Amino acid sequence: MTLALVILLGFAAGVLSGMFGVGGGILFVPTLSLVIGLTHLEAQATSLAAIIPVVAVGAWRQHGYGHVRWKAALAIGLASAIGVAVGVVLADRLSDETLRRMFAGLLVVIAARLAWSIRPHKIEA
Amino acid sequence: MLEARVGQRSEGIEVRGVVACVKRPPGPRLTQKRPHCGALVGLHGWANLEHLASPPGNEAFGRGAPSDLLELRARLRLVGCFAEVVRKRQALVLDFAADGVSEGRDLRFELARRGIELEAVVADVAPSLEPDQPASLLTAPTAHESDEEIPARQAFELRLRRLRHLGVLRPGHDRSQRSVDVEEERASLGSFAERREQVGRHDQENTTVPRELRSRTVYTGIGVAAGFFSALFGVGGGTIVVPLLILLAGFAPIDATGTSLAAIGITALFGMIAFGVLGEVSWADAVVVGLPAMVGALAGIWLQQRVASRLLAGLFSVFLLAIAARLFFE
Repeated sequence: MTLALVILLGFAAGVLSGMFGVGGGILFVPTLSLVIGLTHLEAQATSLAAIIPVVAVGAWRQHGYGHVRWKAALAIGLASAIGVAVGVVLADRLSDETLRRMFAGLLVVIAARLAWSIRPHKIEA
Repeated sequence: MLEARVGQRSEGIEVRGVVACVKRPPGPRLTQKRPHCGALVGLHGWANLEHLASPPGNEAFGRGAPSDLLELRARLRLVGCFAEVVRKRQALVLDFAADGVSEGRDLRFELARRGIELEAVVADVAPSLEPDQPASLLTAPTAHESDEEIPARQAFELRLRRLRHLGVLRPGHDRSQRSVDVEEERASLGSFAERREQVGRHDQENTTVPRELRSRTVYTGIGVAAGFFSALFGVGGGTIVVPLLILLAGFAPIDATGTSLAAIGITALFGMIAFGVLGEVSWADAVVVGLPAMVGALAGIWLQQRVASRLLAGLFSVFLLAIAARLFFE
């Protein structure tokens, strides 16, 4: 039952991320932590893994439209390794509650931006 | 010389309203101590005087004869006047009702639009003005204290001087809006040699950081920030990569979105590896969530172009807020 719900939620997360350009992780993390019951850190870690196929699809589509500048993407992606290392260490040290609250704050920001973006008929990622 | 006041009777003519002075479209007054080009009065019963006016097309000022109904030098303040603008022969006849308020500004605007300036309040009326005696009209236009005697060829210089108070034009300013202070302009441009030097300086400033290197630095900065953000929150990082690409690297929004997706893929891969090393990744759950989401993303992209998504986006943002509250207070 939980499995079906999770699959459904994953599908919904994909639909919403495809429609609104909001990263799937925004929905994966709450799904994983609230529905499956992972700790918030586990949820974040797993979410990052789950994002990969979603983003791959998106990047492939955008590549088809000619909107991907691969050099820049590669530069950003490789440089992100440094940030990831720092971020992972920090996330590992922070308490689950802190992580959860920070994530809640991020959700509020993204919700606000989404609400703002539908005002002029245009949606940002 | 009389002061035209509302309600004043002057030789059988009642000055019903204030009087306006019409200048020819802005330009220097030339030679001969001419008065302002046309004077206008709102007169009670002015139609009776119409026969006094010179025939249309008369070169009135050359002869010093009035060209219109009444030749008056008028100076008036237009505060709180209601005006009706009537074209009469070659001059404008303004019929004012002094009891109106605040429309004066509109009149001023209307006149300014036609290139006419309004001035003060006093009217020159020939003392013996009589409806039936054309000769008693002011025969020669009188000069005004502010009139200047200027040779015609100085007109251009005069214009410059008149406009000077509006400010000095510098290179890049719109010449139609500002006067040109030639000295200023010359100084700021410098001689030709100086100008070349300035050009060189300009180039130097722009080329000290090669474009390629600069963008690489920017990408690195964006990447580090995105990686940190991504690992800390467990999300892709598009939330910050897209705006940063637009703001710092000058990407078009659509390119920023596409590029961020590719970059996020790499970032998420690094994150997954790092967290995997720490043993925090639940692989089975990742598959259970990630694969349906991949299909969902395709569906979402397909739907995006077919569904009016604004309401849905609104609901979605509310939904996100609900999750935020839930997470925060758990």
